[in-house]
Amino acid sequence: MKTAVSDESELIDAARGGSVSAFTELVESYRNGLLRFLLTRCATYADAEDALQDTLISAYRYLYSYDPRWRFSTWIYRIAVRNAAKLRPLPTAELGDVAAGTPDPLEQCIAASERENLWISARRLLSREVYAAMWLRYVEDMSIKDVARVLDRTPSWTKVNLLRGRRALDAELNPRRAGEDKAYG
Amino acid sequence: MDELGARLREDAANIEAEVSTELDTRIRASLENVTPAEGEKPQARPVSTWWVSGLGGAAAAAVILLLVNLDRPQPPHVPTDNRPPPVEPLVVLELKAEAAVLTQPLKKELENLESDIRKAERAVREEIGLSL
Repeated sequence: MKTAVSDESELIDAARGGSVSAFTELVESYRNGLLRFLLTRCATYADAEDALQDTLISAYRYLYSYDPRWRFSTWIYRIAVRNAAKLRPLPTAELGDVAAGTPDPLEQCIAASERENLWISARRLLSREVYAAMWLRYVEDMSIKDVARVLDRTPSWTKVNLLRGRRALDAELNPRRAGEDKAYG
Repeated sequence: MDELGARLREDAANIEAEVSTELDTRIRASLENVTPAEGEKPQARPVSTWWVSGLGGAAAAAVILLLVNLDRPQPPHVPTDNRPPPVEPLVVLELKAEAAVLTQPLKKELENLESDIRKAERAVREEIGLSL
């Protein structure tokens, strides 16, 4: 029985040889996740789609440079981060406040609910890099090391900022507990 | 997974974003027009040519040794003759000294010598015109 890893490496070999269908199959499981991730880093939905397209084209073109010692997801997310950075930035320096009048692509994709989606809160509370680190860690289930590689940061930076992100979101979720924590030092 | 982690995962799943058919078609069309770049893939050397690396390494080592030795500064010339260098003959001073003849006890001899010194000193001072 073939494992997923060997399937992936076979697809990578075929794609390196110029097989578009092999490459399409290879990235099939990453495309939607990448789009959602890019939505948090782009100003509009269209920008996120463009960033996804650029990411997949870059990955296909430079597949020869992929090092199998890395997870493929780590490599492709790293490309996505770079491509998103090339596009027009969000209206504000940080993700927290999207300028009035500009439809927030992330909010557009979240169905109305009684409570606020935690990722919307995260955008309000966290910096762009910490937000991305939280996403990669908790949604994409990446290790600290892989998150650090994607964001081009050190594992120490990643650990510290994941902890900060968690504290900020915990305080948002449990304001009473956060108040007690502050009171007791 | 802890509560916060589970909540983050759940809320991420509530973000409804999927690659549309239109975007998928656009991406496929773009990929068809792209040729994968060919990088330098590390090629394994055939087993039959194992000696190439060995000989190459040996030749490189020999060249490096040669270059290092050529560049090394020449040490100063050391004569191979083990004979010691010629030594200048010692100059022997001729001292006008007389052996002391001790005829009395030592204390008396010391007093006599001191008296002789004083006499000699007085004589010298008189000669050069100094008075005591």
